[in-house]
Amino acid sequence: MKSELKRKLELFIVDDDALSMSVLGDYLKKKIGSNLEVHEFDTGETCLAKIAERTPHIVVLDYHLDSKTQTAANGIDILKKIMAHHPEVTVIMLSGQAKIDIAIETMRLGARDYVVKGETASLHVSQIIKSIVEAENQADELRNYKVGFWIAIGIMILLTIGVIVLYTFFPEHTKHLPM
Amino acid sequence: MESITSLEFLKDFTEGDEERINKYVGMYLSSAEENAKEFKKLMDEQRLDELRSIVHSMKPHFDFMGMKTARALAETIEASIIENTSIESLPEKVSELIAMIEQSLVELRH
Repeated sequence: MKSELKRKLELFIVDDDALSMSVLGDYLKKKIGSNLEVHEFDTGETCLAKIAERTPHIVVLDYHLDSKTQTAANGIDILKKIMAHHPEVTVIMLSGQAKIDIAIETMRLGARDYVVKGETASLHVSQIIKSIVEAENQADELRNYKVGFWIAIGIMILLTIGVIVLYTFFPEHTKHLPM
Repeated sequence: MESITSLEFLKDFTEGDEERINKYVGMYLSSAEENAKEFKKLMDEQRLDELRSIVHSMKPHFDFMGMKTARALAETIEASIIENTSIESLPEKVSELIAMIEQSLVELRH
């Protein structure tokens, strides 16, 4: 399968709702495979502290994060901080509201996608992650092809030089060889 | 009384994994009772923004437990607070939502 993980992928989920986070985390581990390492955080602040010491590939970030801690920063503020310090991280925003203006705002700030919470949210997030995995696998393959191509070119150059040296400096050994 | 919960979504979602279904129902049960008490307290104290926040966070729970009516009512309450409309009927709606949660606790514990 193309979307199978060929290397370890680290994913952080940030949601103040333990049940939603558990449902999503379990689903992704089952659908993406054992190379997906999931870490869960109930506030954006704890996630940022972890990112400072260990940068994940993907962060799935809830928009509202203040139901348990009223002073907790919201998803937009956390998104801004992640993008400012770790623009290489892919952020997928989650929200209970299907609002186009919020979706546009999060994408403008650097989120890759915006998923509305509900029965199909886990499926959508898993599809997005699979597309990221496929793109990374293709990039890896392309890198491998390029390396293979240059190795082949190098071998051909060395062989050519070898033949030239042989015919130039050791003509007695090449009498029986074709020109 | 007609059942207000349905585990059909969870059965489908987990492909019949009983362990995961029980885990999610257990998590719902452990938070729902507390949240229902919090709804009443916040409504009584007119702390509507906090009420909106907790009602909002419970919407996925209602989805997982197949509580479509409760989900719709939660959305109505949330919209009412955000738009500051029909505030006079809010206590009645919150009581209705609490009653639904209480019924769900009875159904899911059996």
